[in-house]
Amino acid sequence: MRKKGLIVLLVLIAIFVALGFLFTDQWIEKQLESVGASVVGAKVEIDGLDLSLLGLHAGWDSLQVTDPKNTMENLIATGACELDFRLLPLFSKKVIIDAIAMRNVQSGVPRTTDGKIEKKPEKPKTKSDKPSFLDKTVDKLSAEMENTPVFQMDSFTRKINVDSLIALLSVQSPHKIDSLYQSLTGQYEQIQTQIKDLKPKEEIDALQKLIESIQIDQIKDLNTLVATLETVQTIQKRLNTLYTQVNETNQDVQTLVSESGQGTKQVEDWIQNDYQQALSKAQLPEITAQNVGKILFGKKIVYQVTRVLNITKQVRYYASKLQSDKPKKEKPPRLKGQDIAFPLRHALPEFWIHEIELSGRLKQIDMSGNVTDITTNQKLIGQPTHFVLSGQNEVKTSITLEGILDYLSSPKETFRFALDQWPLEGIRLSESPLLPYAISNGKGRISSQLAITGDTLKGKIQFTGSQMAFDLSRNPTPNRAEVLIQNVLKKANTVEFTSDITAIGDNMTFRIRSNMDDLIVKEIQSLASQEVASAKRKLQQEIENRIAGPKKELTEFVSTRQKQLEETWAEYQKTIDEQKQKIEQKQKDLEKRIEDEKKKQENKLGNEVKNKINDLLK
Amino acid sequence: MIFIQFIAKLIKILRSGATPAQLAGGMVLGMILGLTPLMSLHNVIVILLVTLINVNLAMFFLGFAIFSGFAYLLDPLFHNLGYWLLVDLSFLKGIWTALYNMPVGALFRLNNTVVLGSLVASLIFISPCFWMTKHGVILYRTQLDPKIQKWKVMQVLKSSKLVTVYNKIKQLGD
Repeated sequence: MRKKGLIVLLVLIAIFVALGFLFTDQWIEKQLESVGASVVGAKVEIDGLDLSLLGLHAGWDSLQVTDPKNTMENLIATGACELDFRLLPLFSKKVIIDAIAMRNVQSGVPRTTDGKIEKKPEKPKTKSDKPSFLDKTVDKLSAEMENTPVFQMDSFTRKINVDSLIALLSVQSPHKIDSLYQSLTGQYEQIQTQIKDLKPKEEIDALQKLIESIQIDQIKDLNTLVATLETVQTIQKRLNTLYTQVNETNQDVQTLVSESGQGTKQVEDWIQNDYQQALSKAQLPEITAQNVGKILFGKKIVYQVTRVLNITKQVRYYASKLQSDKPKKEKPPRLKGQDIAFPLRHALPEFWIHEIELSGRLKQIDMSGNVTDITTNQKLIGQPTHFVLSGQNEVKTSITLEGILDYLSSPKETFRFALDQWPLEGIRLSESPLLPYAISNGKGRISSQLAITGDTLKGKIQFTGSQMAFDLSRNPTPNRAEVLIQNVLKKANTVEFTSDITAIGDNMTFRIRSNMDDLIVKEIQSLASQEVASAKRKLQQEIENRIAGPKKELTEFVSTRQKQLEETWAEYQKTIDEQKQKIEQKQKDLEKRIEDEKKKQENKLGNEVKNKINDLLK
Repeated sequence: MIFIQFIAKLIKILRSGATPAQLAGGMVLGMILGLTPLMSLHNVIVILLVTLINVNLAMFFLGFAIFSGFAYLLDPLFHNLGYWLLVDLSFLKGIWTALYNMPVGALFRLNNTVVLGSLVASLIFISPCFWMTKHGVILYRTQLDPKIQKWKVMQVLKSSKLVTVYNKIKQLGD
């Protein structure tokens, strides 16, 4: 045992305690400011932090959280705050605070210095860093806004120079018609050759001569009759074969006719195609109500929703980290290690604030409310974190903000925000150039709900602005587009929009409906639709003019050739049918003659036999 | 120069009046402090022990310096060992939970992978480190030091400038 050592130890402890008294508060203050700044993305300042571990007491004179969107303004600023914590849990490294009263909480207070911080470059994501449901939803919302077409007011209000559009016109149909014409010519010629090779006329003529040469009356004996019948049957067979061949050729003709018809129909599609291409090149605006709401209000809504989702993502991350049963192995920096959380048996989490009472002023409204059960482990206390803040001012403007962060089982977050009788003077509803005017009079009402359960998100934001008037004096010499917007705003006594966001797993839908959609579209239509319609008509006429010649030529060609072929075939069929009838008649005559001749021969033979028998009997 | 200073320090310690056990004790406590993260409650106990029991302080600081370097190199191993003990060996979970729930227990930060891994490793190395240091000192004092003095090289070097430096170092050591 060293006595000197003991003395040194006591001296060291004394120095440590003294330094602790002098510097602990400053050190913790800096740590809290640093952590806060990294979470918020802008400066967080705590003044006059006083932490007394022996007295189990803490407090600060003021707290300022900079608004990351406007770093010359505080998102939250509080006055003096005092809190006490319990002694015994500290020995188990647990901080349990029963109540904190935060007075004079304010929002939107201007800062004396800029609260901007230099952001550290984001750590590149590794393959194992799979994006969470909330990450994906935030990305999709951003993509949705990026993909929203830019609403070019000028495109609706400018004069359309149709001549320059026609100069740029590249009509493809005549070339296509020409190709079709060439192809059909080839096919018709092929059919003609096929018919020519058959030589039906020569064959029919030869058979006709043969048929006519058969003179049944001049035939005297039976043998010649039988031989002639065989000749007739042979002619009949040849006629049938010719008939079949002509019919087969006719089928080819019919196929070609049908193809020609389809080709001609295709021409209409080509013309339509040319017209559509001309329209897309001309970029003539389609005036529909779609997307106007999204263009007007989408950016603001997406910004607010993304902000809530990013905070929820952080809360979820820490909640899952602090409550997980088997933590995932991390790769911590050297000498830092990874903290593994174990279940706590004394029903006390590592950190638990039972209740924070809040009171202050937000947007000229006296607010009050509380936050209950902020903890590192909700399962241990069996309660979700709940916050509610509400207030009303002398002109009856009221705000309510309420939320539940529930991690007792699967993560569930619910937020509700309502603002009523909100004076809108001086506010710009949209950052879009489509709506550049501030409101000079009006009352607003916002009601929004957002519920996130596991991988499902449902949100609705409704806004109604009534008794609306806009400050149009900003631009005394408006151009055509601005006049149009001013006309819309003069008529818009009420502005409404409803936004719905639904995300289930990887599928997300984001819709905004607004009465401004119809108002703006109607106004644009009345101004621009006639001009657009006229330009469209001129373009169509030009295309039709250019196509008319080749189209007519093709139609006539197809019709002539078709008629020609049909007539030829009809003629052949008629001649063959005639010859067939003639040969059938000849066959019938011959068969009758043969029968008659047979009977005659039989009778003659009978008589001769009878005569011979009579002669013998004489 | 740093290396020469280190040798000088070592020789000074080895030739000091402290017993081999005191030197080995200092080395072991220095090893625990060096291998484990400094800001841990068990290191307060180590400092208390160093202050209260008669171990060689110079050896303690030397051990701390040497093993701090090792700690940096072995950190991934300590992290893996700690994670294995805390998470993978499920039958030990009860012990860690009990420790975690003990009053003051949580302040030891034994739920941290590097703290636990390095502490367990240093506890394992206590006996080998103590034995090796003790016997190393005895070996140096009884056999190596007299032999080194009799080396011909040493005789030759005695007249050289290097020996002058050595003597200076020796004076520093004394």
